[in-house]
Amino acid sequence: MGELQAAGVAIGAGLAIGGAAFGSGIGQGTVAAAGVGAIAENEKLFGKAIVMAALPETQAIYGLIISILLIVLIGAGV
Amino acid sequence: MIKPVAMQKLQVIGLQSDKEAMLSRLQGLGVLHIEDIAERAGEWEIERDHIPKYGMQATDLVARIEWIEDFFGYMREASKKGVIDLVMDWVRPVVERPVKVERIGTERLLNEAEAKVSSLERVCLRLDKKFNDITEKQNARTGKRTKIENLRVLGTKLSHLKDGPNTRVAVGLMPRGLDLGAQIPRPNYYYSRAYDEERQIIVAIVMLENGEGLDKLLRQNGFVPLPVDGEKTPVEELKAIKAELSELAKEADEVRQEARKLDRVHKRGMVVLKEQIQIEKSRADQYHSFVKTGSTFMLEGWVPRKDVEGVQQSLDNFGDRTVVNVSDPTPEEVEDVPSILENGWYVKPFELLLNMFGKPGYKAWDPTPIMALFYPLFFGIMLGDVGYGSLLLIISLILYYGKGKYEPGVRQFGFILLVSSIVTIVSGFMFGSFFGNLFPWFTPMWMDPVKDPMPLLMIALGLGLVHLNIGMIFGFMQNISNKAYRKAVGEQGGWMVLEIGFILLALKAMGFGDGVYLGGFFTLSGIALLVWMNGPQQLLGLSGFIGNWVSYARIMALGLATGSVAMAFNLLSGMGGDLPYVGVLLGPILLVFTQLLNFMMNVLGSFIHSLRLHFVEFFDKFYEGAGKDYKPFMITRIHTTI
Repeated sequence: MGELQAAGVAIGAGLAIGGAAFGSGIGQGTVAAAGVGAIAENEKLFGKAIVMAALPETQAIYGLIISILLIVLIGAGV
Repeated sequence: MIKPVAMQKLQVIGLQSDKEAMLSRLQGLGVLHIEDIAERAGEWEIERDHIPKYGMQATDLVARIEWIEDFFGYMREASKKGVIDLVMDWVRPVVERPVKVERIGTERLLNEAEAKVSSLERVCLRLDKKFNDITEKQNARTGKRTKIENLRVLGTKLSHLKDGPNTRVAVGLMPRGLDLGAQIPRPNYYYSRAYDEERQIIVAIVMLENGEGLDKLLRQNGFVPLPVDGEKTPVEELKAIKAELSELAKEADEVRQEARKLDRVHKRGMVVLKEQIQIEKSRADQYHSFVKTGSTFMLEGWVPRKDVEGVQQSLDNFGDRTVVNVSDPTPEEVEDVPSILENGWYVKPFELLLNMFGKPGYKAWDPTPIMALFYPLFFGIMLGDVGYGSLLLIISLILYYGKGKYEPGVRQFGFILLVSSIVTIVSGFMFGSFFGNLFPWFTPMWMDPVKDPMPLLMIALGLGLVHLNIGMIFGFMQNISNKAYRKAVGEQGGWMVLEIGFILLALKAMGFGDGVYLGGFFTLSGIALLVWMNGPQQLLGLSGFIGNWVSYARIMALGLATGSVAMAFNLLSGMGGDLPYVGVLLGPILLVFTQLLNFMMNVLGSFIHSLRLHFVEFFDKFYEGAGKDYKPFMITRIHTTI
């Protein structure tokens, strides 16, 4: 397995999770900001707000899956 | 267990003179969910009913008691609860036993309450006013103090710094470096002194007639006046204010003490009284949902079928004077019927999760049993660690046996976590995760997903397929049972046929059998059915189906993430521990702190994503959650008993 291939996998995996997490982070930030506003008006919404804030985590997870698949399936020889 | 409880509609017509007695009986039975029909008074051409006088009296009393409770809370503010108290509140909550009360008539109860509340209210109002007066004085003093603090550097008597009968005095701040002494109209007195890095404080005195000229000059040079309040020198004034403030603080404390004494004596009594009044109030409030004529009234509501006979018997006491109509819900009324779920001891706590989404409609089936099976399973694999599972187990036990004893919501949550933590521990053993890779001797009983995640991915996707299919079959059976054949085919049937087709084709692609024609037939007919039932845009739904299925891969992802992050943290703590001298302390601290952090993040993540898989992917196949809550008209006794 050539060094180039290994490098490619490494960069690919890194980019996959990096980009996905970036988007997820922005999404969660927006939701959390709105959540804080909602809680300021009504304390009872805390639980719902936390749940909502964690929902965009999904997209980061998809990125994680891709990274893992890359490393495992292609980078296996390293 | 699968279907919501059967309900029937009750329509009761009676005489106004019997109304209170009938309502008391109904309240005692506590099974009738009253519908608000007052808004339909217009279409029947009769009047709405009104809340009786005792209802308004009760509302007023409750409001006043709550004011008193707020007042006591405000007075209590100074003594904050410590962290230990907060924790003990959850582990071993202190709950007062209910107080035994007599059964007395509404009028007597309200009159006695009026007397008690009035006298306590008078005292509290007096204390409140006194406290407000003290606070006002404190604020005035602190305001004055701030002003005088600014002038401290000057040292002269403050009375000299105010305008005199013939003089105008300006005291304030100006930017350093400016010297206006020469420009001020004569005769004058000018004094300046450094105040801070950027500013100087100046005092300028001129004759009254030159006052305007002085103001203009100062304004042009960035002058900021400082207000002068007081007569003696700053130091003397400040000493006096300090003495006054400490005196006022003592007075405020005395008021607080008096209030707290009253609080201790009366608190329980007020809580008990409030509950008794609220029972009466809740009865009076129901009038709002009735309609009436000159001498009769009518109410409508829902009662579980098994309780209907009991209600009819109870109302029989009023003999010929009342009419009770019982009927089954008509198709138009179905969406108004409240849903009551009936589940066994293991499934019931999971209703907490279902309620976050919405109860099933009256005709829909209850998916909680399926949730009770799959939720802990998904959670367990996602968190998948023996160490974290054990921590969670301890927490869930505390919740269940601690605060959960007195609060059903907490108990349900504790139970859910309890089951989930057990599955987590099992999963940790299976996949070899004990605080990540903290213990090198701890090996997986099945396989290590970090070395090869593919099997876990297969498991996750397999579980997803099973989950989705259970959902579809459930929905299909529900629709058939409700005779909604079109829905059964369009929402579930078509997909199932399509799926069979795909499987056959996939099998053929992998080399099993000659399923091409059969597979193709099923696939195409599946698509045809869907498009026929739901329109051509259904074709886009195909990718949605694949997406829903792949979403289950997050089970693998989260499971892997827990272990990986734990591993990274272990590495970090190890490096911290290797540092000379500090390492001995730093290592363990880092370890505990980071592992706790990882624990919290992953518990939250597993909780939410297991829930999300149910709410979004699973429910998408068949569930709407449009049911109405069952809110029966009843007596609520928490602090009192008969």
